Amino acid sequence: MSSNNLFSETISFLERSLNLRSKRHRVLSANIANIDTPNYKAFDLVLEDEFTRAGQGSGNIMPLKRTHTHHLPVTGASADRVTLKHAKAPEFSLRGDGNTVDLDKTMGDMAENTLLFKTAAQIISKKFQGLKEVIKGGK
Amino acid sequence: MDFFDALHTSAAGLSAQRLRMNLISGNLANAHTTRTEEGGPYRRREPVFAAQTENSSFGEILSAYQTDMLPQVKVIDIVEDQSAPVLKYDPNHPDADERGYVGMPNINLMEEMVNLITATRSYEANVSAVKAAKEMALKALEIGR
Repeated sequence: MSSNNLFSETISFLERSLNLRSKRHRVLSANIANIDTPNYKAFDLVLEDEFTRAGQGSGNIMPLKRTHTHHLPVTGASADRVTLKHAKAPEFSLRGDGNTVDLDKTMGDMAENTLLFKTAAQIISKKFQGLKEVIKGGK
Repeated sequence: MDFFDALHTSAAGLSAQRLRMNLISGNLANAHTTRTEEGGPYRRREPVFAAQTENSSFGEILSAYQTDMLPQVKVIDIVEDQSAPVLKYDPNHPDADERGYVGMPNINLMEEMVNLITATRSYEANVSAVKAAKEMALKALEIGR
């Protein structure tokens, strides 16, 4: 029996979720740090896009191999690579400095992201607890 | 590690906002200063924020470009307000010119207070981001416990 059967897809999926959510947190932090930077354009990481992209599978993409440590890093086909988009600028902004960070939206997104990260962590944790229970035979 | 990068980014935001608050405090404290080392009345100072990645060498910039290009905030300059001093008639002032006018710093209390509140709020937003990052990292540490 492969470990894939034992752990099913849940753990790898949740792991990816945790990974993406921590990345998104970084994006949101960068937006907040730059809230007063003139002409800063807010970024966003759309997790739904990343999940569908991961779901399509990168099986038919042949990864480039680095044969020397001094070769340029190839990150194009890596599963770790995410695509950052520019967040939609608020429709009506009275700021004259060209900054497109919407503080309320960013803080809301951040709260949502944090909660969902905690949810995923909780589910993984429970999953492991369940496995442990089974291993111990319910003793 | 994304959490540590997030913490560094927020820390850069915190320190930029704190510097801005310090400059505003300096402006408020010197609202009536008529003598400075450079001569003339005090001039109000303001930070210039710029979004900057913390990488410097070509390799670092290239790899940053290939992964993601999230910029940190950095104070690249502190500029002095070049507007003319406000002339105030006060013949008894030691710095008064022969017509009895004293050049006072061109500092608007309202403007400084509004900037102070904005800086405080931005600082708080960064603090929230730090807290959220910490909470998430702690939650991740609980996996398997």
